[in-house]
Amino acid sequence: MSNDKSLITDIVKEVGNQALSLTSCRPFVTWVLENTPIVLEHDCAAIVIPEPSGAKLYLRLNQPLSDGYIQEFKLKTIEAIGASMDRKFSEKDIEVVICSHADAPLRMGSQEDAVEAFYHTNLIVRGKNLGLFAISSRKPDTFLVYRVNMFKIFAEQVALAIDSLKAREEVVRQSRIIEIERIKMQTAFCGMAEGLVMLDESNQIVLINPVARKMLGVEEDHSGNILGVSLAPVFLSLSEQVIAENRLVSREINLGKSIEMVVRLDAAPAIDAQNKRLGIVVLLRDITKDKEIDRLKSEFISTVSHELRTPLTTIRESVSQVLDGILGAVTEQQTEFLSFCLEDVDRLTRLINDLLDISRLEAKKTEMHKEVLDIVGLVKGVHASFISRAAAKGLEIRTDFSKENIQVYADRDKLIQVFTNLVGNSLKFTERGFIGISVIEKADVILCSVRDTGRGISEADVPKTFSKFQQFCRTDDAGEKGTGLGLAISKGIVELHGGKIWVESKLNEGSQFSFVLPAQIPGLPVQ
Amino acid sequence: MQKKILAVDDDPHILLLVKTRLQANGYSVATAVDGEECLKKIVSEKPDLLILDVMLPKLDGYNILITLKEMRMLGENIPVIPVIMLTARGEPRIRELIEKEDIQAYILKPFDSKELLQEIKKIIG
Repeated sequence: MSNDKSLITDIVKEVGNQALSLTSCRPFVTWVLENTPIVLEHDCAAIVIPEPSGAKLYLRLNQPLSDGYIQEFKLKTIEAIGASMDRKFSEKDIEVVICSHADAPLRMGSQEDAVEAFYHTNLIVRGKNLGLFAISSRKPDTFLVYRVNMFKIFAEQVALAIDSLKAREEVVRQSRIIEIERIKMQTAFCGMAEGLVMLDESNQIVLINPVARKMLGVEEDHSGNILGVSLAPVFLSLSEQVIAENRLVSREINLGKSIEMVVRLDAAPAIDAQNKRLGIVVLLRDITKDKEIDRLKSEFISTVSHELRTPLTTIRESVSQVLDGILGAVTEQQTEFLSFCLEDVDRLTRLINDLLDISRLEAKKTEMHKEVLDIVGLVKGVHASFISRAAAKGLEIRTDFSKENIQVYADRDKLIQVFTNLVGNSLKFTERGFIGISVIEKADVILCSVRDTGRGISEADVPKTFSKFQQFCRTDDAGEKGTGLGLAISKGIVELHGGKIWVESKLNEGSQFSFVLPAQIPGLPVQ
Repeated sequence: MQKKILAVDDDPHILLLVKTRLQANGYSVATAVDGEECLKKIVSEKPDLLILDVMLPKLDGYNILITLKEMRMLGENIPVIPVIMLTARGEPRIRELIEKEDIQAYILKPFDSKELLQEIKKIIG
């Protein structure tokens, strides 16, 4: 074949056009290999393009060639690419892609041939080695210098084209990833049970999902400004607060018209990766059911309270009147038995009261009536109420205050309940020694302790101390029997005040129950 | 002169027990089982003290007190009567009422009759 110079130039020029019309490497490389014989006569050609793992070797035969020839050519090519890239390729790293067309010569199994001429050039663009272009022939001296020049120019064009195709392939790959991510986000966004609205800094709706649309009654073709939405004032004030305070802000609103629908809005600042503020994201949750459950819980607690107390009232007062002799004289034994009854009615009453307290605490329905009060005076009152009981057991109750009059912001009755529980427990489990109550004002907390020289709690039982119905070393004392709820209630009350309660104890040596309450009183400057 | 107490409760057992206890302690006792009867008896019996349950048919304990106040404001000749609330419900609302209204004491059921008698003695002797 005699190579027409103008034909060669046309082919070289055509490389760019071909690359532009295609979006992936393979058809382009196939076209290149098909047209290489016009540039330079040869029997077999290959383009190798390395990939992160291994490489692709595009191969085309222009003549019928033996397996031995092809194998030899392949090995030479692999060796050349390895040398040029300073990277070792083994045969199994290479994926061979045969680019011969239907009219291309077939491989001939038994033929005496060998690679007599081999030429290769690297595909280099801006110093970057993209791969290798190799040709071979059965005839020696085929690739003379003057012929090879045009092939080198052709290879340069091919390199440029492969570079731009690879870039285009990367763009396609990336946009496919983005599209998949977008579909995932879209599916999650539309499928979520909560409503989601994103507003930009000028309060335009950037995003709104179908649930939020439905909750807010926003039409599909809404122009994008929140101002047209029924809840615009709520959103605007949320947006203002979130931006001013730069934190999550929550609000509950009633959206229902004919039927009740309570929605909780959680608004958070929307910030991009560069920490730039984009607006706010608002999550809308229908909490109507939660509210209803809350209401039922409260109702249950107050109904149970009423229904249990009424019959107890009748039992207690009936027994009490018989015992008091209002209905006639009672024998000594009758008095004894009726007293059992009265004692246990009182115990049942305590149990009901404690159960209701703990249910209220657990349902977060405890009503707090906090006031600024003097905790020293309060403790003195509790102390006074225990003096006679302590004296009956031959015990002393000592008090220790860091100063007279320590102010605390607390619920008086509930704090009395905590001290009464703790002192009552100490009294119950102490046979000799003393009980000490102390209140110490520290920098940011008020530390209250009740300690005793009683029987103590074993190391194994300490972690269970504040659990419900935990009664260690129950006494058979004649005194009030416990309900097993006192410490759980005390813990709940202390925590409702923003405090913490704990115990330190040693078996047979005594226990010390301590709790802290915040020292800060609202409305007063922090000291 | 014997002091008269009007006890109001919808539970007949409790009402009988309160009546017996108070009579045994030298008081004269009138009873009512609902809010409407209570209002009538306040007018007819002119009690010195009211022992009032909260949950009552027709008109509850709070509304009895509110009605009495309104009647007085409308110029009806109804004297201010001291009140002891005797209820099974530990309601926080009572705290406010003790401060604002004519409630002198608040006793939770089941009650200790000693405590009840002490309160009565404090109020009417």
